[in-house]
Amino acid sequence: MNLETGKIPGYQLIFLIMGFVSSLSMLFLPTQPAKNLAWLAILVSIIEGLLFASIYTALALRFPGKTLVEINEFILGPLVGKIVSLGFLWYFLHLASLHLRNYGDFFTIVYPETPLIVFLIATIFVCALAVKNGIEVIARCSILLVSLIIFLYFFDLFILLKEMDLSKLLPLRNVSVQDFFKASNAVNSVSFGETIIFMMIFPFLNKYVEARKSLLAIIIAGLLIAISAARNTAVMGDLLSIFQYPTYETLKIVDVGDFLTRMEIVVSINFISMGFLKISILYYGLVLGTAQLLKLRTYHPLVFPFGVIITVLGVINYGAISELIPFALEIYPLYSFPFEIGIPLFLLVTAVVRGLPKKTKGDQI
Amino acid sequence: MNKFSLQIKKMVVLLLVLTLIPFMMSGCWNRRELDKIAIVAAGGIDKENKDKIKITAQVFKVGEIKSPQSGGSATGKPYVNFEGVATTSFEAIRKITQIASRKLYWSHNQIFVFGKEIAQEGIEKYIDFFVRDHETRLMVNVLVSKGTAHEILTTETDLETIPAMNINDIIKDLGATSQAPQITLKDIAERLLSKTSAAVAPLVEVQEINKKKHARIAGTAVFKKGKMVGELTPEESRGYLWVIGKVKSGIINVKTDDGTKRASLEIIRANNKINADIKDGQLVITVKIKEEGTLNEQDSPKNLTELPLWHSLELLQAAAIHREITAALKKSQEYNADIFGFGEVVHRKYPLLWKDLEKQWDELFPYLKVNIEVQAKLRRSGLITKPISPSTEE
Amino acid sequence: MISLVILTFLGIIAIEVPGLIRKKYWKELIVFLLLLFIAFIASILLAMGFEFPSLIKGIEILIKYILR
Repeated sequence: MNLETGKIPGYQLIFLIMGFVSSLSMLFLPTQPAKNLAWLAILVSIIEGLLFASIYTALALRFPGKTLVEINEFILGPLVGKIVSLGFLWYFLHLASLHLRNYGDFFTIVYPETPLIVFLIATIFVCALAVKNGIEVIARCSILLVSLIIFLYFFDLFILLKEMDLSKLLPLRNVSVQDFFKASNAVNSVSFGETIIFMMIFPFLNKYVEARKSLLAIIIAGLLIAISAARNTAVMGDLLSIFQYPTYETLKIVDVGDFLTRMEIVVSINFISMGFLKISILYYGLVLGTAQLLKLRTYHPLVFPFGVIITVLGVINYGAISELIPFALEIYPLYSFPFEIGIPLFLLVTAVVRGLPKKTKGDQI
Repeated sequence: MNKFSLQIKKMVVLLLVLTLIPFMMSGCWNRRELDKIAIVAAGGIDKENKDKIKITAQVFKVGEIKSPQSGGSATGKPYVNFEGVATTSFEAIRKITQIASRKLYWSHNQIFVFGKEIAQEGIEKYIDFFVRDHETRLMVNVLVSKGTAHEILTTETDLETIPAMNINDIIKDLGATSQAPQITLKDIAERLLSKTSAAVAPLVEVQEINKKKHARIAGTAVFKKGKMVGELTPEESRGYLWVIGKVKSGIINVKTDDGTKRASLEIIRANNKINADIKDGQLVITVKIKEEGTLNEQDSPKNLTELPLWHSLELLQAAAIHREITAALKKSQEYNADIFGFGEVVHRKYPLLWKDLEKQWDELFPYLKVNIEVQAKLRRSGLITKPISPSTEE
Repeated sequence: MISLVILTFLGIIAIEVPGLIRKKYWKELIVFLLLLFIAFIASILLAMGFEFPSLIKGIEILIKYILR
């Protein structure tokens, strides 16, 4: 009973994770408490992210060919496992809707007279088609899109060099330790911690040991985000604190000889492609997980109904965007804690203590 | 048979996609065609009466912009100034739609002028909209008028077609004399956010030449907490620019031959270094300027390129720079406006101490000790090495 | 607006259901219809202008309740 017959090579996993991690993070991160040290907070959060990711990979390597939902059932037993999986599925569902909404909100700022729902439906429709086509298609999309984004990223960096004032990154002892770690925790939980979804994708790797490559992907993506945060601070200084979309505003500054101006469109391109990847991956994990939980023979019929549910949840997520930043800073790290680290760590410890999986019938590895 | 039906199925899907694409490509939700928008080239804001402001928006009249070949048959001015009066910036801009046939489009706005009264009252409450709105740009050049913004936007132009372009190009060339800063909305906003640093903006005035009103740069407006508190003369403005390292070029005049003759030196490059130190419990700011210039004009019959004279010329140049900086510093301390951003320098060097200093900065800044060290060099003397006069050595 | 929602759902049913019936995937069909029903109720309520409470506010209250 194979729900997904596709296989992805290891290098595609790197692209997938890079796209997944850097998508919204390049545009909008809850780093406000860290002020000019946002980049340093992100660097610290990479370490936290690596810690999380190594737990996920350790679990994936222990149970090759099993997704998170199957691992839950294997370790915790059918009933408890199903309840925990249900929790994860809710988390994926909510996360997908949250990112979808975030995505839509950005476009309502650029196109203020278009209703939000138009962006949500247009986006989720494309994502639904991608999910219907399976993980292979999403992974191949990620190669194209992430390469494009990396090219644009370095292009942006280059044309902004003129506007940078590195002294704006100083002083280093500007923020209290508490605020600093608040920011780095929040960054970790919204960008690196969410790679828990890849526990649903690791089984489809050609060689399961390549799940280790997710650590490399997290380092690369983390560095890219940190550099973009440093770039934004060096260009905008304290002004950054008043903007909703710092990267968008930073690229508005670009003016190369009255010719290369208004580069914020690049942010939109970045956002369209990376947002698509992120939502697709979450959406895929959700649909696949549900099918596995209910032991269905195919996940295809679940795609559209879940698409509608994600869209509706996206609309009712919050009223105004001003609710989002306090949520991302104060509540989200707590809310995501059990899903991103608590339960995976518990699963890993249990598996190690009980010596799971027991190698009874032959060696699968 | 099965293969055939699959092909038909594929054809149907393709047809469906092809018919759907035109619907998607028809454009944005609220698209606006070029002939339905009024492109704003400059904005101005003035005080109308006690609680109302007047926004002036200068709009291209596309039909009137003639190419040079078609001759001067233009019947009217190639621009039109719309005015809207209301209590807030946004409301005033929207009111313009009641008199203009098209909706204003601010994305190509080049300059923004504040009238003096508005500047003295405080600009922060009026610029909020321009930072917040998605159509306006942060990189628009900001100026302060010595009179009203409206009179600046109705000045005559000779080379350019409309005043907005004229003033914008003047601002872009400010580096040639370095006697007023080029300031964007972003710079102003950044300074307004700071608790200690004060904002500045180039000052522009109307000058009558041959009974035609022309716009002219006349120094720098100094703000304190968003309110204009004073002005710097062009010389003091360059003193300010020396300190912040924004002098690009310019002319320094020095007196030679015991004050009877003059020499003009061109500034080629300059850089700055600001450092904060605490000596004996007292905060001292050190400003180091390194400058290179060339001798571009002299009316003395002596050969100034000869070594002792050349060195004295360098010293005179350094003294002139020192004088300009001192003048700017004195003015800023008089206004108690930290236009140089010394507070930020201290903040970066002593982040822990700064928490206390920040609160007292208003009391500290007027009496702040600032050391100015200028190192000026002359590198070249143009294409000739001797003055155009008979040699005096014989 | 409501008719648009109904049309969308009819479209989804037309795409998915025939295949499921042909393959005799009854369990999948039940899950599909159940999910679709939930989605339908939610989107109809949304289309009729029903004011849902903010989701993240609810999570905030829940988290604060648990941690208290």
